[in-house]
Amino acid sequence: MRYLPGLLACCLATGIASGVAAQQRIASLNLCTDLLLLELVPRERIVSLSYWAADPDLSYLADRVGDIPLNHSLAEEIVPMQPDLVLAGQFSDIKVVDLLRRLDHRVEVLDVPLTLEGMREHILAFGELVDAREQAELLAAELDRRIAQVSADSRRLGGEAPLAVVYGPQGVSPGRDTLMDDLLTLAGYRNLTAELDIVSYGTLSLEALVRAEPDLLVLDDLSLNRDSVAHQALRHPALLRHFAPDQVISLPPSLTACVGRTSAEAAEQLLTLRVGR
Amino acid sequence: MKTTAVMAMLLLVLLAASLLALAHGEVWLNPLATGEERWRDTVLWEIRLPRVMLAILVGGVLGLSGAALQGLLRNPLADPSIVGVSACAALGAVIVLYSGLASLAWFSLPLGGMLGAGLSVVLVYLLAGSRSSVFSLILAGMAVNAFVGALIALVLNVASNPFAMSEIVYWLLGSFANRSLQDVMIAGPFMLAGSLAVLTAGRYLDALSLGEETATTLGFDPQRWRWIVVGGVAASVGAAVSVSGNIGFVGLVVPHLLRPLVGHEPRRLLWVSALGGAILLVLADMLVQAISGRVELKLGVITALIGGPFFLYIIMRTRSSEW
Repeated sequence: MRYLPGLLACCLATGIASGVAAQQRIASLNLCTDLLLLELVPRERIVSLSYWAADPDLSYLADRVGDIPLNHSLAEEIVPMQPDLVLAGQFSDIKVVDLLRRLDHRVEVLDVPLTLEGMREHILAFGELVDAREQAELLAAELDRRIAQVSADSRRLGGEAPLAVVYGPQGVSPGRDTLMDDLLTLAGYRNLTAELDIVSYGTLSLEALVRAEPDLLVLDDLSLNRDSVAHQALRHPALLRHFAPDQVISLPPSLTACVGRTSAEAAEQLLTLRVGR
Repeated sequence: MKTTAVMAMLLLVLLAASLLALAHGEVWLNPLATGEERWRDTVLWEIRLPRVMLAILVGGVLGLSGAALQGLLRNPLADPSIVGVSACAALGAVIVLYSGLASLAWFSLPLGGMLGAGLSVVLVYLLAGSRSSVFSLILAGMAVNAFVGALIALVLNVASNPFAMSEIVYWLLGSFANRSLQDVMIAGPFMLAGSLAVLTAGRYLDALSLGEETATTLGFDPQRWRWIVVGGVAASVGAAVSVSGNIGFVGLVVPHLLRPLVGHEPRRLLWVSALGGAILLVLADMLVQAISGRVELKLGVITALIGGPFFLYIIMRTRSSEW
């Protein structure tokens, strides 16, 4: 029964006067806008989410998606739903954005923040856009508080900052100006890749990684456990034998996929890890 | 030059190249000295050693298979990558790896490679036989390579792997990056067993070079020996490709370079081609690490840069001779 208003809104929207129809109905093409929508807006107003939103490996709200129709960034999936607003990210396919606009849809291409800087403004602006100002303010305040807490606790912990590195399939590692760098710094770590002067994402060879002797190895993507050559590097015996089990952790990609509630969660986990050693 | 002298020389070169490859990396390390820091040992023995061992094994297999196929098909352009054996092996390995079958048993990945290679060797033999023209074999190989390359891309796409694009490149061009002793262990036994089978066929290939009837009158059962060579090539190349991707042209270039040193008897050529292939890949793998930017170049790029022009040269020479 909980879904009934959503179903009605979805199928009969054109036939219903005022009441439900007055509510803005929104479609999203981007995982990060999907997640904020699910956080801030009642689900009956969401007419479509990107298919990533239902992938529990990437989306911490996958179990909330339920029967909301999923899209693959195709105009033909969006148009029949006649949403009042379509949300896209700066990396969304520009062709579908153009096409939807030409078909007289309102499409907002949002600059989804890639680091903690701008997270607050983004959430507030997003709340404004989707008519959920109050919820956005609550969320922003909660994240501010949690992040300030991590920062304060980390400073109180003091001591020498341990050297950490985040290592993903194919040796991809986040350097300066990335969310992971922000989170590591916040929790009081030094980021090896940033110290190697890599801006944004770069690759580290196994050799370089072992040679730097980091104190903490954060494996990215292991929880996906996908079979591929790219993932084999993460299971290389050199890593497993060189590092003690308590030096290696794995952060699920759903924690780092988007800036938002999960960022606070990830920072807290990293800090707890520092306290534990 | 006597074959044993050539072999001894090649063995020395291989030893020197291998030591150099162990020492060479992002930083120079002396493999003969014992170091204080733990990372030196990890880098030397867990990261570099498996690469060198695989380069030796895979290079040996590819050089040997090239020499054996050239002898068996009596075709100077035969090579596991050109006739499509390597690509089919890659397809077999790709299907096993991305379907998750690889975790079923330690040998499932090389087994997939060997099945793919086996299928294609039989196919090539049926298509080309021992009497086909030089060029019909190459054309058949081209068709097989194009078709199988597309199948690899298709399988990777269906597997919806987030790294599909770069993995297609890996399987089509090959690399030893991030390989471990585990890869040596799972594929090594099959590479060695297949190579030994091929090496026992040296005398048959010698006899075959005088013609099929002569070989039969000399007491060789052609049916039996053919299967030994074909099976040995399929097993060794299949296992090699399953842990390194499809590294091209080694089996083409190496036998041609070494033939002047040991003469035209296939038997002599088998051993030296194995050593030559190993040397080529150890050096190529070193070169690939030396010239790469942040993302390592695939090994097949180097071998194709050497092999491509060489291939054209052989075609031109072949056209002017009686073939």
